[in-house]
Amino acid sequence: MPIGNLEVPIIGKNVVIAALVQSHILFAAFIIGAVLIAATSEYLGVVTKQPKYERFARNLARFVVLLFASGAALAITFVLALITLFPVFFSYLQNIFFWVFLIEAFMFLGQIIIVYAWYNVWDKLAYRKILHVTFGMIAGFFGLMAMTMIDAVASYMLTPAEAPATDVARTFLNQTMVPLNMHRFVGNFSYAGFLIAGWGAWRYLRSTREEDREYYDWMGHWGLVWGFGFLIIQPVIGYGYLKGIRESAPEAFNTIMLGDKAWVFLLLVTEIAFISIAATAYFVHKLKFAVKPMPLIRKMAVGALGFTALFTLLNIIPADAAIIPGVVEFAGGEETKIPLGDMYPWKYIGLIGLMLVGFFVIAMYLRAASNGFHWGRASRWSQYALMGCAFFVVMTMITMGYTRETARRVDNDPGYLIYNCITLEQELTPAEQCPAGDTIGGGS
Amino acid sequence: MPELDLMLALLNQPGGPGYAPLRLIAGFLLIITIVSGAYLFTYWISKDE
Repeated sequence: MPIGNLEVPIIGKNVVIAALVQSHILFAAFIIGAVLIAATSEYLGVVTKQPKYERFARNLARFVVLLFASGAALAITFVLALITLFPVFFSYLQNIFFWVFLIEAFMFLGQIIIVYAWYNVWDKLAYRKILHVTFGMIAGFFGLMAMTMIDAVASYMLTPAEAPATDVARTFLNQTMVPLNMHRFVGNFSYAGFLIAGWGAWRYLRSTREEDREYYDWMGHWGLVWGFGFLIIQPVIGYGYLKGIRESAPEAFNTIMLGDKAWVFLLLVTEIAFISIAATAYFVHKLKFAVKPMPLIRKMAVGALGFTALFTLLNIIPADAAIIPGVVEFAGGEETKIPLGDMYPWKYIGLIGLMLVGFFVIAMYLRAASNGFHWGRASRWSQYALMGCAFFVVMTMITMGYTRETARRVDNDPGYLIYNCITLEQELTPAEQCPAGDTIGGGS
Repeated sequence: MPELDLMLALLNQPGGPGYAPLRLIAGFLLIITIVSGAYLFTYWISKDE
């Protein structure tokens, strides 16, 4: 007896899937990023002989081990929910991506085995550190491979390849698979870095021992270097991803950039604005405590803060005044356009400017960091900035996940599970409409 | 709760937004609850004391 069409009251079955997957990704991305950051830090501990790197790597590895079960349980719950609520769709997905899912499962198994081994043999391999670091790196590699597999599925749902679903290579390397994978690869480091920074800030504010204050102050800095350092290369990769969507699924692109869902991108750049300004303000503050005073660099960092604010605000301005509900209707200006909100050239200037200023300010900051800072003296507000970054990076992740998945809905007439091939009601489209032809499509 | 019934009826009236905004908020709250719950629990079990 097949599973019937189940409905979830009020919130609907789409929200059930969204809540489970988005929760899962907030663990999974952290775990992949944190394992690689911890292994790199452990290696830096070997090279620099500074004990804080070892303490940091070991604590982070411990946290990852304990967190793994929650992330894994959510993944299983999600698959269960998908089979129960979207059985027809899941059956097609399983047929198209059998090998991908199989490899994914074994990468996941490899990751969990190596992460546990890595943490558990920490003392045993105390005198064979390079071998131990390699364990951590391999665990990170397995995590990245698992992510690569699921990215093939996720990207195919938005941009199915114009080839039969049996063409494994074309299906796997569909139009947006590579940019999506790059975007998420970099995103893992950035996301985990900001969360580590936020956590360090929280612990710093609650620590009373001088030794702990120094350590957690450094941890906030270390997390932010990863978080912000990787964040500033995201706009160019994200642009490549959006370009892929624009070429392969123009209606979906128009929905999220120009149509009903244009607000999601404005929300996204608002969140990025908070993160960038808070991070740059933190850098400016921290430069006060450089062991070797660098007044010129600090002055330039203050200038960079001004430019960051300018460029991020430029990104937020909407092109269509009517996006703010109520206000322009009242004044009778529904058609009002704001020239400064146009993508070309203003948002390009904003995004490129943000990246250039970001590179500049982090280069200045790392220059000062190479001589060291006086740790344990950071102000409360600088730590609030780090905690704010951690909060907004979570918001950013949720917003971007929502954006990608909602792009397939276009005008909801109909919305799609696999774009142009399977509708949200799990019905197949005619073969001539589906890029994969009659290997997926074939309904009326 | 009559207030909730009224809100749902208002959302669902012709030309209204339907349950979509409600679903968006419900989904967001669900995610935040699940994630912060699990993170807090993990922190609690990983404390040394």
